[in-house]
Amino acid sequence: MSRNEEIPVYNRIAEQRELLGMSRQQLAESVGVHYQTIGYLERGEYSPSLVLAMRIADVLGKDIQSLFSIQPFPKGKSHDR
Amino acid sequence: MTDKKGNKYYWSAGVTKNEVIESLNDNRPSRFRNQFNRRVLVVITAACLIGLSFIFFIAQPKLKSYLEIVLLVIVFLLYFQLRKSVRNVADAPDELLDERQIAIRNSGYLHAYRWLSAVMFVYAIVFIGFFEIFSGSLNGATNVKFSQPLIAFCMWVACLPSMVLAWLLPTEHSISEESK
Repeated sequence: MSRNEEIPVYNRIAEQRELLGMSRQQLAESVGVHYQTIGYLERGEYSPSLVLAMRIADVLGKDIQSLFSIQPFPKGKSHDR
Repeated sequence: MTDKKGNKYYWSAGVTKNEVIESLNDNRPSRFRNQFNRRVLVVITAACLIGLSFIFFIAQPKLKSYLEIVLLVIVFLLYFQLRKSVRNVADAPDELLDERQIAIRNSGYLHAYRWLSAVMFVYAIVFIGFFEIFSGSLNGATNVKFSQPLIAFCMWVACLPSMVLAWLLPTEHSISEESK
């Protein structure tokens, strides 16, 4: 049920979240979404709106460009879409 | 409308705030987190609604009445189970959902509307055919009551959004894995 199944949005949410020692539940509460939504985002099954992407980047202390991309991230840096 | 505990009731959606929040945060394991089980529920609901729609074909009034009551009770139970199986997302208002859930719900309604059109088309064909074939022998069909198909149609309207979501949503990941 991704909004745009042809163009996936790759992200490094899981990697950054784990670096900060946050759970999905904590991140979800910080950005105001359901914890399942974080799971969907991390698995690349849902592409976030710009507002949600900016909120996540803000909470994780990263630039939006370093967290989300329409190109896969180089291997070794992230294994998640 | 809000009661003392702030449990707002959404008349247009037919749900309460607490009901939706509890359902969304329900961490208890359930067989309906699994897509296959949910699809079985959808098929059973559809079968009951089809049965209820065409119950008027039964000639024996007593059998017809019993079947109607039994099917109606089953359909109502299935309706509430369907809503629960999709965590009330199909009925919840925007303010209680996040953007992904709103997108899923809206997409579900689009599919539900298309399916409702198909259901209406089948009903129209069947009833036109029924009148064409039996109008002579049924005295203009004035003695035939169509309350069951009407009730069934109303239940299709109520159930379809949840049925579509129950069919389309993937199996949920385990709660422990999802929230860690």
